[in-house]
Amino acid sequence: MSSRSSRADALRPDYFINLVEKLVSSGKIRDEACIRRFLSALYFSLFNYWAAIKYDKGARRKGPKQDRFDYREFHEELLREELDVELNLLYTYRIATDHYVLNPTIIQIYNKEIVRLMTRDRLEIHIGMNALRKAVEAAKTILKQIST
Amino acid sequence: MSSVSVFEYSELRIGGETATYKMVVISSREMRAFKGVSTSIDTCLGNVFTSLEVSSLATLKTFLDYIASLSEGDLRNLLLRYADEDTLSRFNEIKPVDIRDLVALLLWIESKYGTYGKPLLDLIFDPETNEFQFLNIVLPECDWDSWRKIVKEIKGEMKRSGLEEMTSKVSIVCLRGLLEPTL
Repeated sequence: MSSRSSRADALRPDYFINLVEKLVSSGKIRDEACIRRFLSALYFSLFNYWAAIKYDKGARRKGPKQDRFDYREFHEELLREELDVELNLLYTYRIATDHYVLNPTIIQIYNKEIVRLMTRDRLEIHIGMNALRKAVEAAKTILKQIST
Repeated sequence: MSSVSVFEYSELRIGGETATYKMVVISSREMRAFKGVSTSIDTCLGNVFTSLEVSSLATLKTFLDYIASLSEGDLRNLLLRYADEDTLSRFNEIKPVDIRDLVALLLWIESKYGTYGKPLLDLIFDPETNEFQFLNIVLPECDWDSWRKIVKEIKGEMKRSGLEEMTSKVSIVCLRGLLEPTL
């Protein structure tokens, strides 16, 4: 499958993201379980790839093989590159799909004023095809950035 | 719109020395006002020698300059305009960024993007690891179409104002862009 020397080559998610995009445009994704798994996997495919690039460049972090990287470092790099839109979209929906059962739902927010506004205006996280379409676009933008 | 006004007051004390006090008045678009006195002496204004109002065209650097004279207590009170006690308490436990820089940024964002509602501060923790991730500055009335443009403008201004490192700790969120209303 892949050489030991290049984890980034093995984990590059172009094919996976294109596959999700094709499934979305073909109308073959029909249930919420699939939408949830794809939303989550888009985020993790990028996180894995980013970490692999770092590892290949010599970065070592946690774990017996020092190959476990933190989300925080990943997020900080994306925010530095002004990818706030893409990060928030993927990370928020990834949390909602992996940890919350209701749809639509509201994830943990500490500032009560934000919760009040969301409740007042009925703003919630809708796990559906529209979110998945946006997530595919966000994933492509992030991939382009971290590949350079 | 918020505005920042700076007043300086000098008085001649017994013994011939002059004491100068600086007062920074920050007004919000809701017409509530915060008054921060840069000294610990609770003084009332007598003769106002200088006054300066910062318009919505003021740069972030201008806000950083004015905020520099405020005390820790003043900064805390100002931050409570954008965060509740619980959020502020969590912020103080972690201190991911300098509170002075954060307050200046929030004031500047409110002055420039007031049409999108008062910005609100939140902290993001990962639900699996419970580790702090980043700060969210939420613009309540901002939608999907404006989001990228606003991010570019705010982060560009942060970089021009010497807050480049902070751009990796702060995320700008257009609430209506991120979430959809329940139909």
